[in-house]
Formats: sequence, structure tokens, C-alpha cells
Amino acid sequence: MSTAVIFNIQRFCIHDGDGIRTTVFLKGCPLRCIWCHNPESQKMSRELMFYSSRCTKCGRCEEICSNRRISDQKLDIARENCTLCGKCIEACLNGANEMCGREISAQEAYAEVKKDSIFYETSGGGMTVSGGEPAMQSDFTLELLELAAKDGMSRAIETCGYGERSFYERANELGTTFLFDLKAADSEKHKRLTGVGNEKIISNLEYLAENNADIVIRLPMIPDINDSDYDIEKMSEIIKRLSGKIKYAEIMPYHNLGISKEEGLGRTPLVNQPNVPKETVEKWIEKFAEFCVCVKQSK
Amino acid sequence: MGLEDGEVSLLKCLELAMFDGVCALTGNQVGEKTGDAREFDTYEKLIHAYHRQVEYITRQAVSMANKSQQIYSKYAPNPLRSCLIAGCIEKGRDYKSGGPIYGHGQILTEGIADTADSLAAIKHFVFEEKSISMSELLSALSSDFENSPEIYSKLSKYKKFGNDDSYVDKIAGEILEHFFRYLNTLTTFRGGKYSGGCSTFERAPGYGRAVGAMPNGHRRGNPLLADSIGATPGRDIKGPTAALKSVMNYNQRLATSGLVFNIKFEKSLFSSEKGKSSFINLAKTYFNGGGQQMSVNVLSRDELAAAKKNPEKYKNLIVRVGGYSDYFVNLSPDLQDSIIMRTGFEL
Repeated sequence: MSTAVIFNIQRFCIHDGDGIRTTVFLKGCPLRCIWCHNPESQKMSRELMFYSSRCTKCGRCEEICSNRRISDQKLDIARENCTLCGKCIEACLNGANEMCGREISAQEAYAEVKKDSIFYETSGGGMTVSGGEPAMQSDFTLELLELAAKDGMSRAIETCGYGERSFYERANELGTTFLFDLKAADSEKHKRLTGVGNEKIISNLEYLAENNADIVIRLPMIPDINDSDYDIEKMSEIIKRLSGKIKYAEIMPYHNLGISKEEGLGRTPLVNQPNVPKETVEKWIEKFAEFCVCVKQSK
Repeated sequence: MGLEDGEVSLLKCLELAMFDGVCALTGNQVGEKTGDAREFDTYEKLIHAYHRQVEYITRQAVSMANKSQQIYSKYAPNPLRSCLIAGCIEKGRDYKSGGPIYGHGQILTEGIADTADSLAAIKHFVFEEKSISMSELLSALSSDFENSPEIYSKLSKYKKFGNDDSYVDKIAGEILEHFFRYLNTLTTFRGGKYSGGCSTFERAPGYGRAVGAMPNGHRRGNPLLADSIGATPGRDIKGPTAALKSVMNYNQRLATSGLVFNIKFEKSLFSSEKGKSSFINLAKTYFNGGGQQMSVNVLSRDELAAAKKNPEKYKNLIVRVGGYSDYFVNLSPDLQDSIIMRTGFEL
């Protein structure tokens, strides 16, 4: 019986593997990608989200919390003093405050996933564990995968690859599909962009490829950050080396839907760019093709 | 062959049960006297009063329907349609006068989700958690929540039908079953049985305007009411699979006059093969699970909002509401709003 901190269980996900799926989003990630589109997934502990667009400056939360002050039509929160008591959430009439993260047992999470079983049966879908990083709360993730395996439900994880080898070993034994991120081929650059080098990641990827795992490589591509010709050439080398051992590789173009969540956490986004136009994605695909690698665009 | 003979708003019946049969808008005694709700010490007593109001109002609807059908059969026969319905030619009778082999009557219902959400909120806050007293609730409703923003906030945020939550969905299933089973005990002037169905078409806003404030967070006279058997517009927030599971929870076999489920998707779903096949799998699952009818709109919300603003540019935009298609620009602003609000699942 393991528990984990999650921030969402989302139904009718159709981009996280085959068929209609339910995705369990775990909180906590060992990486700090500068373009992260789920910034609320980075820290494992609970966090308070505040959406200023919903705030009417009515003063109800100010009355019950000494960390809040309204001045010049603006609400300031002294987040460093916040104890996450959650009273502001109850006090607010407009839902401007939300608690991100709750502890849940694998059994409970699986019960929620099972609610859409009838749709998995029709569509060939199932459960995807994402994050954050599923390997970071490995006991919980493995228990979920075991429960799904027992029911014969399709199971997948989305991973940055930076977990312990034993985790990937066990997940592979359980017949899991790995949606495996490759963010930069050069380790120095990987460290600059995500906070960690990529040796461990590449080694886990190679291990899975050698052990007949079901692998889809995912390439988060961010204009002017990891899309130079050199970046693409180096990523192509890795993909070519694994050819025949992975299902396919797909591009996940940068999008800016995470910006409002950064603001909700009281932080300033490190990357704030317009969404990637179709032409750019086509250009990337052509570039990969020049290095004899076929990549798809994620749908 | 059913005739659309009448319609009963379950939400109005709940209002009558909470106010001893008095209409919250006019102050007139229109329902039965079922007792002061402040003296109900269990949820079951409230449900008992609600059932009595539903039965009383349904009997009235049936009695009016029987009278109007008698008049129709006498003064407005429809020989062409009668020729196309089995039994009429053999008996030499119009379909409105008892010609068809199956001569049942049809009473439709409105506001199922709003009523279930209201009952769930009362059950939870008044009888289980006991954080709001019935007297506080009634006074909040009477003032249209003007003096009780906290109660309004609590009630509005509480769980709603359309999210695959068994607490609310079970209540919705029970109230629909009660209404349908009661209807089956009543007879038409032609001697057939009455049967129930639900397809609100363009009429929901009118029923929304005809009720006062309700415990689901409905404001007095708000035209936004549940769309056929689905959720109150904008209240189903867990995606299409959860919305479908909620309506699959109804005992749809009892609804011999048909249950309409409207669902709207943004255009983007159909821009990829994966999106298209996922839609097909949603529909298959629904019908395999006993669903009767699913009406689908594919639109972008922006497109609808733009159409409301600049009707001249969108004269050819057709929307389906129930089994009914119309030009969006011809609809009333209230109905346009309810369609814009109606769940648009994005991807």
C-alpha cells in the first residue's frame, strides 16, 4: 500500500498513448526544464495557486490570513509565510485560490482510473502515469502498473528518464509502454536546460531498448533553445542508434499554456514564447530527415 | 406512437416541496401542502414531500393533456400522418383518437440535473454535515442569496451531475425513475398509458425563468437549466467520458418516450485521426451501454460567441439542439447563451 502526491487525474486523454486514456499526474520532478509546461508538477509538496484574474479584491481572504494584503487594487501574498492551511480557499467566493497536490493511495488512484474501463475496452486505451516524474514516487507508480497489469489494462508512463535503473527494470517486466523524453543530446547543454546531465537518462533509454521495451521517444522542441541544426544532428544520432528498437520518435512542440500556472505559483516564467507555428514543426521534421531520421508530430 | 402531451419541471416540484406548495416567484399556493420543510428532520421526509409534489403536478399535467388531446382529436385530426401509423386505417380512426396499436401518451420532464444537484446539496449540507440549517437555506433562497454569499458559494461549489460522481448521479437516477414509474400508472383519454421522456429542445430557458433560487446555486429566474438529460450547462467539468457515464447511470429502458443527450465538441477534436477515432469510440461505448440518443455539435466556442455578436456573418451556422437543428442566429439570446455555455470539450 503506497501513497503519492498527485496533482491531477485527467480522463479522456487522447495524446498520452493508444486509445482513450486516464492520466495520473504525479507531483515532483528531478528536472527543472526552463520551458516546463506543468510548473506545478516540479515540487513534490503541496502548493497554493492563486489566480489574480479571478480575484475581485473583496478582502475576505485578507480578513482571515495575515499573509495577505490588498493595496492599490492588488493582492500581495507573503508566500514565504504561507502554512498551506487552505482557509483562503474556503473564504474565496470566486475560486481564485486552489491547492495543488493531494496525497492519495495507489488503490484510490486506480479506482478513479478504472471508472473509464468501458471506454478503454472500446478504444484500446488504458492508464498513463505522468508528472512530474513517475520514477520519483516509484513505489506508487509500480503499484499502479501492477494493478493495471493484473486487470490486463493497457499501461504507459511518461518519463524524463532520470530514475533508478531498478524502476525501469520492474516497469518493463510489467509490460509498460514508455513515452520517453529526449530533451537535448549534449550533456552539458542538457544540464543548462534542465538542471541535470543526460548520462543516466541515455543509459536508461539504452537499457530499455536492449530489453525489448515498448518505447516512444518524445522530443520537446523549443525554438532557439534546443532546435539548432547541431542539436537536431546530435539527437538524430541517438535515435538512429536505437532504430528498430523503438516504435517511433515524435516532436512535442513548445506551447505556452504553462505561463498562467507559473503566475498562479507567484513565479516568473523562464521561457515565454509564442506557440510554435506549423511551418516550424515541418522545418524540424525536414531537418531530422536530412540526418536520415523520421520523426512524427505528436497528435 | 407517443404524443407530446405535456411537460413537468422537476425543479419546480422541488421548490414546492421546500416551500409547502407555494410558488417562490408569485407567492401563490400552486402545489399541495406538504408541510413546513424546516420541520423535516430527515432527508427521507424531504424526498417524501418532493414525491408528493411531483405526483400532484403530474396528475394536473395529465388532466390538462387529456383535455387538450380530446380537443385536438375532435378539431384537428391529421389524416395524412394517421395513414402512416399502424392501426389507424384498420380501426378507421385518427392517430389522435386512439387509432394506433400503441396509443400511449407522453409527458416530458425538465430540470433533472438541477433537481439532483439541489437534492444532493441539501442532503449533504443540511442533513449529513449539518453546516447549513434548513431555515438558513430557505431564507437564503428567498432572498436569491443576496444576503448569504457564503451559502451561495458553498452550494455552487458542491458536486454536480455530469461528473461521474455516484452521490449525485444516484439521486438523478432515483428521481427520474420515480417520475417515470408514476407516469406509467396514469392513463390517457384514449385508454393508453402515459410514458416519460426528456428532450428539452428550446424550452429549457423558459423553465429556468419559472423557478426561484435553488440549492444547486440556481439564481432566481436564471434561464440556464439542464440541457435534456445532461448537466446544467457549464457544470460538467470532467470531460466527455465522465459526462457520458453520468447519463448512462439512468435506467434508460424506462424512458419509452426517449432521452436526448446533447454533447458538443470543439472543432479541434476532428482535426486528427486519433481525435476522430476517439469520438467514434465514445459514441460506441455510449450505445453499447444502453444510451438511446446522442446529438453532437462540432463548433468552436469563439465561433459561437462571434456568431452571437455578429449574426450577419454567421447566417449559415446550424446547431443541433436535441433532435432539432436551427440557424444559430435565429435563436433567442438566452438560448444562444445556453448553447455557448453548454459543455464544449476541448483537447
